[in-house]
Amino acid sequence: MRTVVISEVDSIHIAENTFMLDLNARAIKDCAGCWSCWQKTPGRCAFKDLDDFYTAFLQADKAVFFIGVSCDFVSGRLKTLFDRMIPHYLPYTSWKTGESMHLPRYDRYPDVEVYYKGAFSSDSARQLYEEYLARVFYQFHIKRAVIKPLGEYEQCGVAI
Amino acid sequence: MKTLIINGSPRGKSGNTEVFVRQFILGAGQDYPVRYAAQEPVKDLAAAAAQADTLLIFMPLYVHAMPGIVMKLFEQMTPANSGQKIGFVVQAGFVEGAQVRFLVRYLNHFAERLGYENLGVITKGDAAGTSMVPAFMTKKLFNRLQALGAHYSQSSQFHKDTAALLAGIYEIPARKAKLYEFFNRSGINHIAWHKFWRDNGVFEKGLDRPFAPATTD
Repeated sequence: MRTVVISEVDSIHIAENTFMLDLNARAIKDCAGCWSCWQKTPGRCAFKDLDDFYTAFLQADKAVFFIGVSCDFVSGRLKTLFDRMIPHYLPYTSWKTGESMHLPRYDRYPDVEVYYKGAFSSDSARQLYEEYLARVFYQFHIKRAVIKPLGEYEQCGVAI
Repeated sequence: MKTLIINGSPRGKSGNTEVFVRQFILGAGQDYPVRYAAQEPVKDLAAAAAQADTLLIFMPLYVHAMPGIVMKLFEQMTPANSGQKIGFVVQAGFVEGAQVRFLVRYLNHFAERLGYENLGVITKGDAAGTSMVPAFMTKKLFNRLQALGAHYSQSSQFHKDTAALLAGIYEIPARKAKLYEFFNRSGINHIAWHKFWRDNGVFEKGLDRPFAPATTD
């Protein structure tokens, strides 16, 4: 089982040989909307700062996100990471599911587990946050996505 | 009444969002200042936003939500003073309004969180080629955006009927989705992409998998 970790939560301890994208330590360039990844260099972002992560992500069986809650939503830096995942999908649109979807560029993507830490101003805000994340991973052709508060990870003590 | 427009597109002055901003301003007949999330630090932008009586934020839909740089701006914004207003205009590539539903919910919630009087969220799908396609294809859209601007300049509100026209369909009717998919299989929808690839000298590479694990290549 190859796992890749994406974290913006402090004090997450992982096995030494597990690839971790530490969003606290690494500033990721914002998507420039240039469409290079679709038009000019298919599958490759014009920025190279995430190439090591892209390689690890597409090799992984599982991607585990430890993320925060920012103004009742995902943080700007995580949103930037989502924007930067677009190279892994084709510009083609499919309507097979009855709605517009981008087609996958790769045969397989890792399963996803999300553990979030932070307070919401209301239950409906939490619901929107979870529904939004579920939708993102659906659009990203992630077959299995689990989205839970960080407490549940700590209780289970799942080893990564 | 001081209105500030923020263009939240990573493409700044060269994207579809800018076309929306310009058509809105044309209709309003007012020289509203426009600032760009792609061009200045979000802290400066948030400080300017705090000074506006009405803040209008235009943005493209990126992965079912606002672009990362717009969320970074939101993180810097401070609670509104009494009577300050905010409104949003979102343009999206996919045709159906349902694609924008998470962002609409969040933007309304965000306005409430900061205590702004909320003018609402204008949405427009099927806008991917707005800055590239010939004029006859955008005439209706531009008329509506101008009408939205004209009404705003007089009432400081978004016109509900114009908003509904811009919003278009919420979901693709099942019959239509089947038809789209039928044309899709015929390959006709891919022609534009094939042209981009040919023009860029990467015709054979459009479907490349540069980060695929070596074993499954």
